[in-house]
Amino acid sequence: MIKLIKDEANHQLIEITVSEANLENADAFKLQVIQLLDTHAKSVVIDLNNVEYIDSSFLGALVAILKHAIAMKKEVILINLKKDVHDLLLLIRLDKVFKIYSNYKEALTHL
Amino acid sequence: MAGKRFDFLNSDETITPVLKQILEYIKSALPAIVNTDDTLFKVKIIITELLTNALKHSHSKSTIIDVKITNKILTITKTNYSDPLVLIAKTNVTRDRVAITKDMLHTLYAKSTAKDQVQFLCEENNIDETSSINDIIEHFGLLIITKAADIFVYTYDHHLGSNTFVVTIEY
Repeated sequence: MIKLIKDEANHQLIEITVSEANLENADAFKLQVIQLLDTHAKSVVIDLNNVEYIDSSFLGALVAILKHAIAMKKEVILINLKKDVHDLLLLIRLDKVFKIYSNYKEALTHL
Repeated sequence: MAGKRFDFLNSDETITPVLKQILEYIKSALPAIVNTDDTLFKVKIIITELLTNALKHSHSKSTIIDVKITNKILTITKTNYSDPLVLIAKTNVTRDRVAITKDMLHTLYAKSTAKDQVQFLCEENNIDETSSINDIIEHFGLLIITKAADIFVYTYDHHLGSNTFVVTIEY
């Protein structure tokens, strides 16, 4: 579901490994990322490069993760969104609450 | 007019195959001049949410998806047989719209359009210093369909015991 790519001093970079981020894997994803936050207390950069499509259940999981991170005064940053995924976030205005960057390099300048 | 019926067995592993079948059909049935990317994006997110909603909330074993394409109008109808949505009891007694969810980003309403029938409507809210991310809803299904559709209507038929969701997209 998720793969840890980098473990830096102030953040962790993780990659979602599934192409369809949906009801089937939303709960497992939420639990895994919240566990990472609780264990390491670092901000999380989530790479969605592999994700072709995301549904409402997975978006709900992302929002739950964001709330958890904010309560810990940490950040959740999304990178490498495919057009359909980005368009869906824009449609329901989640771009107003998530920090979204084109790639990891760009995200690093804001961490 | 073109049209086709698709049967969805309510299980999560069948969402993607049914979605692909419907998208292929619509792609082939839409006139060549239409900007299919935009229409197919809307269709994809709407059907995914209709099927996910059936999986989460319907107690019936299957769901029917009917697709109709007429001049500039694409209609997607989802039908299943189970209890009515709870909000029907509220909207049947008021002419006013009823807020279903409200957070810093949107307010989603159901407005009675006839007995046992509602239309879903959405307003974008202004974000200010009182807005809180903690209040953001974590259930986006109805919101996604409402915002992607031009018209989104739900009807419960007591006689048949059917729930019908009709989504209209102008292309």
